Amino acid sequence: MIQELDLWILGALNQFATRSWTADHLIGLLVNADTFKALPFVAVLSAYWLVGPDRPADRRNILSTLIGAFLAMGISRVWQNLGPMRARPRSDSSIDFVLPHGADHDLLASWSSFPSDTAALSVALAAGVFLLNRRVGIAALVWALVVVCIPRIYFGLHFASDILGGATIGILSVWLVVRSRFADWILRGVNVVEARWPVLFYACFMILAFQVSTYFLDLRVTGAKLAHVVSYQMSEPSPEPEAEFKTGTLP
Amino acid sequence: MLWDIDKALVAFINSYAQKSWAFDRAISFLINADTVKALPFVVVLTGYWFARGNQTEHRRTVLSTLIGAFVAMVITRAWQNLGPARPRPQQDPLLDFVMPSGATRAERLDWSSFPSDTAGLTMALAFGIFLLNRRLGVVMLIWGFVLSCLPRIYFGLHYPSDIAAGTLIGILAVYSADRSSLPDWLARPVGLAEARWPGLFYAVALFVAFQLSTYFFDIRTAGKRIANAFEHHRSAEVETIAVPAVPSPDTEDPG
Repeated sequence: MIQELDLWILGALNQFATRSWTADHLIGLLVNADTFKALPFVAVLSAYWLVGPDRPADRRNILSTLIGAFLAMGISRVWQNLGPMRARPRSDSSIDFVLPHGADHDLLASWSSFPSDTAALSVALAAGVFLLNRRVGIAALVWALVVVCIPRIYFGLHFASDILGGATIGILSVWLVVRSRFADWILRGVNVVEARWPVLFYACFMILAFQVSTYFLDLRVTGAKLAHVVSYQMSEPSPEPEAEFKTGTLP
Repeated sequence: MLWDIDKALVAFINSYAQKSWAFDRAISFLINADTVKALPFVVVLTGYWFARGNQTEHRRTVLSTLIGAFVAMVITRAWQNLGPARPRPQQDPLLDFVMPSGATRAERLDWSSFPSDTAGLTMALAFGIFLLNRRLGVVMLIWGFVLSCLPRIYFGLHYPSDIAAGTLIGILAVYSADRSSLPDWLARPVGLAEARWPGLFYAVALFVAFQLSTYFFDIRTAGKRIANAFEHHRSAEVETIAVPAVPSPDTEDPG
């Protein structure tokens, strides 16, 4: 039943593929550009943090969101690697999928399609915004859905249920952390550092904001490359260099 | 004579290519990793913005740095597009350039090799930090040179003189901005915005900081795609537009 619904949604979007070169490329931009994927949420969360040293409730929520977002990313990643393998729509030979213009080479075939960790992170961050302000939060969730998630279905990177799964993981993770006392515990230390060493604090703030906005791309690439180098030194060299980076197409 | 020096330096650096696969891939990583290329500069400037003592002075210098960096970007980019075209080392037929392991020569690199706009932006930011703190500034200038500029020479994206020119433009731009009254002029509305609409101010500031940290990658990619869309609609054939949907890693930033 889910598969039918997934295919129906996929087909509904896919009917537009290759009809307009321009539209396809613009949507492709949304798939890859970090500027649209996580940065907006990070910018809003950062703003709320910087505005309110005297709003501990907000800061607590922001911290919970961040922790929840990490958790969500971790869970989705592990699930992708260790869970049952699901082929992405565009790699699935049993599906008649038309690849839109400007799609990248398929580098993601090895990752399972379920769940979508982009959806998990984006929705987790959007949920955090919702905690701070209902109306901005709804806008954030709509953005997450329309700008971040739908383009991925359009390009055959995920099924709708993968997105839903990721979103659920994102919301649940944030909710769990908010309900726990974890954030309070960390908040105390954070406030001390901010008061005593503001330069260091805001430098680290910027590093973290950047990393979250890029889904830790550089760190993930480093990890992958190190693993690659280790395996290379231990055996025959691989014929092709490993996956492209700086494209944001890592799921 | 400059050409001889350039050629000799490139040949020297290129002699290391293909010697070690791991080393070549490590340098390739540096070409693309924003965390190492640009982020550190933005991070330091952010720290100084929020520093307690000497806030007015610090903030003024940060503003000069941003103004200078912007000017440097415009100058280097305009010069690349409008000035005499210079092929990049990896494409230059006069050079026998060996691509490092795992890298492919780009089919077509836009813009002239001279001057390097990456060097312009990086060294502008580094010099701004130098104005804030001598020792940290020296560290950042070296960091910028070794981790941002040298890898580009290693991959045949630039000649040493391109880097030198970019560096000079970057430093001069920030120096001039700092000596002028532009930062003071800018400081007032900025301070006002920060006081009146702090939420919006910080959101926009973070957005700009992110763009700086990525050398405006998304904006430049979008620009390329839009330009290609126009070209596409003008030409009859679709297939002649040979634009990779996403630039390959070693040529992603021919700046």
